[in-house]
Amino acid sequence: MQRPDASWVEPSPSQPQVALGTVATGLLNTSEPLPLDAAQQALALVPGVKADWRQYPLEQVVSPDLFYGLDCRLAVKSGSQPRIIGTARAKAILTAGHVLQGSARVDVLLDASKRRLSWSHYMAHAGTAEAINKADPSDIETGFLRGQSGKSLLDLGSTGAYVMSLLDQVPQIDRRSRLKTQSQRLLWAAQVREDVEPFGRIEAGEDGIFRVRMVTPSALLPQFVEFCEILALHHWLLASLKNAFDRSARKGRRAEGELDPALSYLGHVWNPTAHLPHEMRWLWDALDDEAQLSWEWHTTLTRVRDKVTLLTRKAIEETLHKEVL
Amino acid sequence: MVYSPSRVSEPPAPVFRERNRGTTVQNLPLSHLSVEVGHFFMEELENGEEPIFEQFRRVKPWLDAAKASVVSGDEKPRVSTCFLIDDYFQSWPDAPSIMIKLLRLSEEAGVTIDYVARESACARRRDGFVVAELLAKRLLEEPEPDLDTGARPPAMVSGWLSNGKPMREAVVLNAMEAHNWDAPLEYGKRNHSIYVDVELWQDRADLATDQDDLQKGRQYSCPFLAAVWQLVRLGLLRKDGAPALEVVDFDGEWKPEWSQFPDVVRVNPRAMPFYAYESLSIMPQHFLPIETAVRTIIDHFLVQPDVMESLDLRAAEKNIAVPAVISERMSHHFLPGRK
Repeated sequence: MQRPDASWVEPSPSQPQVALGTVATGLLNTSEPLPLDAAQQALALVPGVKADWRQYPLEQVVSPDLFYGLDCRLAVKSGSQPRIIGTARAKAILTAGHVLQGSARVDVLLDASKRRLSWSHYMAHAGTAEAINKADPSDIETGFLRGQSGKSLLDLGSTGAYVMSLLDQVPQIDRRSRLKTQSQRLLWAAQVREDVEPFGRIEAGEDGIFRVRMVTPSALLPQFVEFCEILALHHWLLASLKNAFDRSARKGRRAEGELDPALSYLGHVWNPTAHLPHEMRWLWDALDDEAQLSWEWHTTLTRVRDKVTLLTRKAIEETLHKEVL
Repeated sequence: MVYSPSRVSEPPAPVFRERNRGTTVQNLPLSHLSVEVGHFFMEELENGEEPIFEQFRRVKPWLDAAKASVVSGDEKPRVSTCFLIDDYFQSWPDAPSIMIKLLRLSEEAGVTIDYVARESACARRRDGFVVAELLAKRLLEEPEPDLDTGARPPAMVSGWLSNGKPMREAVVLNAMEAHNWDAPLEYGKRNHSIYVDVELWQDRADLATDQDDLQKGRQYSCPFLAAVWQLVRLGLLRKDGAPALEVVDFDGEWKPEWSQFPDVVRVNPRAMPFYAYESLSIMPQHFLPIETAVRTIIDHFLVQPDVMESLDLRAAEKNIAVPAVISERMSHHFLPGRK
């Protein structure tokens, strides 16, 4: 038997080279926005820790980080799929008392060890997973963003969705939302390198999913993740408002039934730079310059309001007509 | 569609900032080492003076050795001692006389006890708050190889915690193969497995009508409460940023019931701080299996990240080397012999 000594602990590099994440966005199933204090209680998902919050210019409550054990594979283009072991971190974010997000993330340390170590090692680096075999960071990025699913493949989308589902059970909500929306996912992947200028690239896929690819120094990674959360929120807002508008035009629907809740739930929430970290403004500005998300939002909102105005006028005219008769 | 913006010139510096931390982590007064100076079952405290004196006498040289070898970086060493009263599973009357006897005998053996805590407080504080659930809700089960992709919700419902996979009877395909089974597996094994499965608590489901009821009737295991005790000493178990169990000064009188005692009481006014960067427990060797279970539990404890950060930051300022793995901050000395 080998004598236990220092050589038992395999040396590991300290800095994750890749970070992967998903942000799921949906509507909290409640009829009216949750007031700040109720939101703070609902998002205190870990006993003994309270939720973080902001009030200006838009209320936002952020749950403490939750951690999930991982021992799975990463999708790659070629060669064997690297096995990763460790933990993913996830949190719930509630904006304007109504828009709920589950943001899950794992930092990946490549080429860390040759075998699975004792669990205490991974618990001391919570939020990080270590890859056992060698792998190329950009290959991992591409593989993850493809969003492939498989029995043993990393599935952060489910982690985010699970965190959101924790809010289905809280006593603060009444489960009587009046607006139909669909949850939506954003995928992001970042290469962490200290020697580069930060770089970001956003791709809108045929499947309606936004994918963000970034290169960033470790100090800016949290801000990059916040950017992704903000982008996910606004992409969801836009899609939900457009969907409500489309539904209102369909036959057999009461247009007001679709437009009223869309206006009262979503109309005031658009504000992409509200909580955007200062260091990330350049990326949002550049994105909005090309993709014109703000333009599309304001146009859609105007169309919704115009339609409500027209419907109102029609209703008044009908009432007057009846009175004349 | 692909958008790939290039970086533009720096915007002016921000003037407004708001991020309200829900919880602010308290900075605790810290010793370098917290030494637990012996342990007794309640019936041992009740019966006879000789065995109590004898254990403290045997603890003494190891306590002295610990004081002499403490890691204290740039600072003068600070060591505090503590003793945990076993009042959770058996609560005998006559608390004041037991306390007076205990403190007198330890003093006679040359071991000064600085702090006394109750095991019951590790389950439920005197103010009614269930401390044990702070640990229960922060345990993370080990992922199963190639199966835990982040899609399986964590399940800590059984009241058991293991470091691997238990032995399983395999499906018998052939009646001739009488003994067909899968061996147990330690997930983090090196060559061979040491599979450990620890009972954390027992629920009396037959008596409970809802989740709250269930938790009220929950009986925590001895290793589970000892894990709470270790984490409290290391300053790592917190409620709203404050220590899960707080220290009060001895008011000069021992109350007749154990349940009226403070959670942690300072009996030596000149004592160094109760909480410490590292801990040592000196106890008879028959506690070894319990302490193995304690370490297994602590190896699955998810510490609040900013609590760990605040301790590590202060240690680094004073050049004190503190291990990243929590169970490596704990050490034990097991006394030979039966008692």
